[in-house]
Amino acid sequence: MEYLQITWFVLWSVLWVVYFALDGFDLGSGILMNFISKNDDEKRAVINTVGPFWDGNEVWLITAGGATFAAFPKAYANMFSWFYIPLFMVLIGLILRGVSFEMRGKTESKKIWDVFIFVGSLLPVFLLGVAFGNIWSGVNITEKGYTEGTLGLLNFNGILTGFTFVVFVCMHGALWLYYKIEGEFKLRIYGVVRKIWYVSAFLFGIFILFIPHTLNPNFNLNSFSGYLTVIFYGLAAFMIILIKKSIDKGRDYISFLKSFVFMIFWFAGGFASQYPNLIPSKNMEFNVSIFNSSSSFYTLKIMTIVALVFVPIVVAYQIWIYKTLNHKINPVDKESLFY
Amino acid sequence: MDLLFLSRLQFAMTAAFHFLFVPMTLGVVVLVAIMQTFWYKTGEERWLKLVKFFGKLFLINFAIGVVTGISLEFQFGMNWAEYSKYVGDIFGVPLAIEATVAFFLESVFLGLWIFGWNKVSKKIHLISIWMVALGSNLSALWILFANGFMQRPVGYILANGRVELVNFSEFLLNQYGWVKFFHTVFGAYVVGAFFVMGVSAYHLLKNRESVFRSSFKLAAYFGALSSVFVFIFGDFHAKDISKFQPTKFAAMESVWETKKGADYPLIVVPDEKNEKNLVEAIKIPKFLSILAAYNPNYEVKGLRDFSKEDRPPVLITFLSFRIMVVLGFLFIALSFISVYLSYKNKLDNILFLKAMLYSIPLPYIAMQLGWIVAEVGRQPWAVYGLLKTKDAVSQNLSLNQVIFSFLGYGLVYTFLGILGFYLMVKNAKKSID
Repeated sequence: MEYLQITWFVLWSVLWVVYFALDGFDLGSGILMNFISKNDDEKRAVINTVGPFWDGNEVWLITAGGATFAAFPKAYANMFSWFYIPLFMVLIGLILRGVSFEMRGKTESKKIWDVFIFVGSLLPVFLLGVAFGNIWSGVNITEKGYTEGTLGLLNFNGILTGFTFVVFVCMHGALWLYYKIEGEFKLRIYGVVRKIWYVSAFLFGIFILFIPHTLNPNFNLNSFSGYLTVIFYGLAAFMIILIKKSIDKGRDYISFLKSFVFMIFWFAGGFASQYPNLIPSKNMEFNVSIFNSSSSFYTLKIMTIVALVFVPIVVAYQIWIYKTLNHKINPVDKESLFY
Repeated sequence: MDLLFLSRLQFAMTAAFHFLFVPMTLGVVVLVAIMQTFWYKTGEERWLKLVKFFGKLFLINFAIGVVTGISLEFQFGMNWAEYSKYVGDIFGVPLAIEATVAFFLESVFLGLWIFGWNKVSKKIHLISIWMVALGSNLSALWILFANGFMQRPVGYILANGRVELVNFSEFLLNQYGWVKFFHTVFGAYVVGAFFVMGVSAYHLLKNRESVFRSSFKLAAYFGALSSVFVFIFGDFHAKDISKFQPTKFAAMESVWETKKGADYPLIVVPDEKNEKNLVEAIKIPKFLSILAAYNPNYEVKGLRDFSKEDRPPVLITFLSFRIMVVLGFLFIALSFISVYLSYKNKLDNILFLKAMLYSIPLPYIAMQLGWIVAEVGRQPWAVYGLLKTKDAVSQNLSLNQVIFSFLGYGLVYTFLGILGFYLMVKNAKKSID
């Protein structure tokens, strides 16, 4: 039983990590779009870089949600009802954003879509950051569950992690656009990339200093989860330096790939730190862990088989489609703009 | 106004809204895929034009459908936490599989289809739209397995204070879920067929030689076939309902007294308060028993056999069911006339074309009514016989939180509804000849 619960903690973390590493760049592109584009064609270029991919990326979120439901129903029920308003706002943001990508090109007025794309990208990233900031530093759970509402989540750790999510995602998005876009616009994005890197490196430092998990009473540096956390954060630090080197050399594709790996390591560090809890509690008595919230052995076994068969297939065709549609986009060349 | 009521209202609203877009996705994607197959095989320009035209309408519809779907999956945890804890061991499984097996296929290949024109070979491009069709239909299958369990729970035991899965193959072979799947999916194909016929009729009214002749004809055959299957599976479905959900069946037909060899009155006026029918006229002998079990002497359970708190709302369930059935017969009639006229090359009756244009909303209405029968008719249960809806709602929410989200969804969905309707009409009117 235990090894299946641990397997599902790993799979659960992988789904979230891949979600952030993939959707991160299109969310980041959405946040940056209005600020880096000089005209409508450049905005369209930004949307066209993420056009074929954003929906497929977002399915990782749905899968993460579904997997939480199937493998850890109690954690799913608690997490989603305790963080009700923030999650509702995440959903509204994603709804408005997704619709905007598809509808912007089909209507006369563009202003409202531009606002929705910005807000709909920023809000989910920030709020998911707030949620995970609270999870990684331990949530105030009592015998009645978590009862402090939305304001109770907006503490130092929550807000710091929220900002960190936003900035990392912006760097990820900027590097994606730097890789996908051609022409004069690319040069301007390069300027943005260089600036965002410094902000990211700075915030990474702050985050490490105040690592929210030092506030999580469950976290023990001298444990398997502690070692893993240190290793993942170390690798993330290493990656962020490597990103800088590639940026300096102007290697667009490699910088983006490194940013992708950076996102994976950084999030993996966060998830490793909370093991074996899904919602760590300040009062350790009320931890929602993989051991007290999981489905039955039988269900976990079936879900493991499903995941091991289908997730590799999904990854394979998703990679194939990224490779197939790897053309670059130039805002001056209107033929390349579909949306 | 209490939290339970508002949560129910919110779920009903968000599910009904989402379900305005799902059937059109399921139906039109298959038609677009067939059109693209014709283009691939024949190279005829008209099919390409039609693929692009209906493809665009499909995308507008799909965009709203896909974004409003996420909030449904999340609402189980957000508003129905007790439900999620109680049945998550089973119910989470089809949801997770749906995302892994179906949503990825649908979303990833749709991206390739939209952006792949001229970038991938015609064959790969054709395969991608079929993958989208496969993905969306598979997602219907898994979500109806999930719903099938709520209607007729199988493959479980009660253990550790919750429902636990013990037999996955029994869960997968739940006849209730399969029949419901075919009934629903063929219903969705009727929505798609009437949509394509209606839009084509609009253009045929303007230009009799339009390329929309071809799409009308294709959709007519598709609609005729699908509407017959809706009927057949609907009939099977009624047998499962009478067997496994006697309260729902009694409410659908407004039956108060248990009776062997029950007659079927064509005209019924229920009087829910006094637990009887005010009017029962034009009776077909023993037909209700035949509908319930193919057996003229079958005993049909009446609602009075069940205590009041175990009965669903009768009037809504009854009316929704009756109107749905009448519409179902109308679809068979209209699509067979359409097949006949297309076959005889006589698509010039202005009145008929207008009727087809204004029939576009009817299958949508029938789909919504069908879901009302399924979900309202299951009340007071969330999972039939196992968990009541009132025990399923989240315990730690405050009323203000739900008021906030209810108003938020209401506002955003109203905006999306107006937007979708406006864009659909605008793009459907564009000529492609």
